[in-house]
Formats: sequence, structure tokens, C-alpha cells
Amino acid sequence: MRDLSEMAFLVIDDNAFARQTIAECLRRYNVTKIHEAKDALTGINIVNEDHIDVILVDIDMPGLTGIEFTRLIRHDDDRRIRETPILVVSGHPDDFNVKGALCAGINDFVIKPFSAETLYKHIVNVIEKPLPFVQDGDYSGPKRNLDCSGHDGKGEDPKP
Amino acid sequence: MNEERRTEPDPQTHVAQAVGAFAAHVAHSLNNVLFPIVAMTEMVLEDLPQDSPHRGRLDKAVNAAHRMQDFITRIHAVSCKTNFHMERIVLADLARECVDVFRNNVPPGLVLKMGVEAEVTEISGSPGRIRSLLNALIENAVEAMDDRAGTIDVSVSHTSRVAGWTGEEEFVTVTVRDDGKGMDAETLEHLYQPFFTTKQENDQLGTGLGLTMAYAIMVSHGGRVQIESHPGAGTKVQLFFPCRPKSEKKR
Repeated sequence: MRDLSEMAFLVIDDNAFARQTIAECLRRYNVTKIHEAKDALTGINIVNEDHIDVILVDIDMPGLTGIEFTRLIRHDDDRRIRETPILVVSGHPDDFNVKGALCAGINDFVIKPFSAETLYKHIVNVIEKPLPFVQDGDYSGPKRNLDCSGHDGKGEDPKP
Repeated sequence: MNEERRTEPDPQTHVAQAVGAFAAHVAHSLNNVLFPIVAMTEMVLEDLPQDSPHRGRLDKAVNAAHRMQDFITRIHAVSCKTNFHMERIVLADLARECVDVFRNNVPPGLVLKMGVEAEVTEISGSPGRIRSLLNALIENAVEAMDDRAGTIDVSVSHTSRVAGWTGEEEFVTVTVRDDGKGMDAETLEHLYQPFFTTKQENDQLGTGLGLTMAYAIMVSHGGRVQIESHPGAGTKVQLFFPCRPKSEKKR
């Protein structure tokens, strides 16, 4: 079993129950360093102040969405921040959002509701089998062969 | 300006968009509420000793939560006809995946067959939506057998004309056929009506949204669904997916 106990996690979700549940799922796998943020801007401040190994972010939040947050992180000047693994944790069973998030540069997508074990497996997969990080035109993130027309952040992203 | 064009809002489109947005909001909110219930209950269940008397009760709670999750997915699929991503997919592969999942879980005496003629033909579709749809149809077929021995046949083929369809079209057709109890004319009349279900009988739990979802998903793919059934003679459900996406058709 992969040891996550030394890794720092940031959980961004406007729903307090969701944040607490994700934190509880992480603690089950011996994670102790858990930062929580109720919106993306607070999350960005935390990323700039503390070392974060993995970010778990919701999509649909007041202010910046998880997709907009991901684009900001993926274009940060600091490589360590830019390449932080990001998993979206969303209650939207909508594959349009999945593609939007992939095109913003996330590493993986987990649909709520999920079990602690499911979350753990997704996290371990992202850590142990990272895709090469690329910066190609406007795209910055894990290398994927995706047609991102309509999801490139230049137009208005459809609201989830 | 004289040349300014006015476009009248289409009331049906507005209502459909409002319902879609409402359903998306409800799905998101309910999934958030359901999340702690599913995650926390499963953690407690994992920690319980195998012989704990609480295990059975918690199993039921987890099953109920998963049914709720399925229900939410169906409400969302029924209502949101526009906001999803279409890609080129091979229906045969998707159908095979769904059948494989069910094959390990069907009651004894039930044979689940898979026949593929359209092996590589691609269509434009939403894999997530079509997977939900095929799962719902196979689930209906299994339940129509009432635990008796029998056969469920899933096939993927080419069809060049569909009765009642004007114009020339090429379709990839998915057929789910069972030799179960079938349906009478009155049941067939109400099939696509939301929340219509016959599954309260025999303690089965139905959402009444499976075929409403099927209809909505097929409309959003520019296709159609046909159902034939007779009491005692089984049911045949056919999904016709156009080979060419809407945007490629001649105007």
C-alpha cells in the first residue's frame, strides 16, 4: 500500500460536509497534513504559502470554478506549483465538465459520491503513473491527445 | 435600425433549458448530500467485524444510497439534453463492456448472449449516457425474467431503414431482447411516461425513469427507440443510432 502519510493535501470545496468527508477519507489512509479551503482564491493563497503535494478541487463553486482554478495553477510561474497533481472531485455526473476539466489540465476526475478506497486509488494512480507534463500553446498540464476546441478557456466555459 | 432582426424565444426551448438547469442543480446538490452518507457508511462497514449484527443493516443503507445515486444520474440524463460531450465511439465495444459486467451477476439459469455484426462502425455519442442507457435496458431484461431460466440477447448490427423514419439513413442498432414475461398493451402505452413503473410488484424497486431516459438519450443522439412486447413472449428494445452525426447531414 502506498504511504501517503508524509504528503500535504489541499481540499477546495464550498460544501463543508464534502470537505470534511474528503478529509475523513484521506485520514483513513494516514494523511495528516490536510489544508481545507471553501473557495478557489483561498486555495490559491494556501498553495502560495505552503508546500502542497496534491490538490483536490470541486468544480462548481461561487467565484472561481475548479476549472478556472486549474488553469491559474497550470500557468503559474513557479514550476513546483504549476505541476502539482490536481484531482477534480465533483458531484456533476456530466461528461462535458469532465472534458472541460481535462482540457484545463487536471490529472484525474472523481465523481461524488465515492468511497475512501476509490479516492485513494485515484490519488495513488496519479502519483505513481504521472503523465509527462507539457506546455503546448495555451495548454499546460499532463500530456493527452484531446481535442479541446470549445474548452480552451478563450470563450465562456459553460456553467456546470 | 431597420435591419435589426428580432428572434422570438421558443417557449419550449426555454422550458427545456430551465428544466435542464434545475435538474443539473438538483443532481449536484443531492450528490453532495449523498457523498458523506456513502463514504462514511462504507468506512464503518469496512471496520465492522464480519459477524457483526449491524453489518446487514449497514449493507442495506449502502445499497439504498447507491440506488439513490443511480436515480440522480437518471434524472440528470433525462433532463439535460444539450450540455454533454459527444465523441466518436464504437457501440460494439461499449455494449460488450456492459454485457461483461452483467454476465458475472445474472441469476443462475439466465444466459446473457452477445452478438456483434457492426464490429467497428463508429457513431457520434456520449459514452457515459449510452452506458447508463444500456445498463438500464439489460437490468430491465433481467428483471423481466422473474428469476426464471431464459435468454437475454444483446446484439449490435447495421440497419439501413427504420419503419416510420423518413429519408435515407444508415444506423447502428443495438437490440436487447429477452424471453421474459413481456408487457401488455396498456403498459406499452405508458412506457415513456416519467415515473411510470411496474416494479413495485414482487418488491422490485424501479425508478420509473429507465425508458424515459432511453427516449431522451436517443433524441439527443438524433436516433430513436422502438419497443415490441407481448405478454408471455418477451420484449425487444431497439436503439437506432445514426452513423452520421447531425452536423454532417446534408441540409
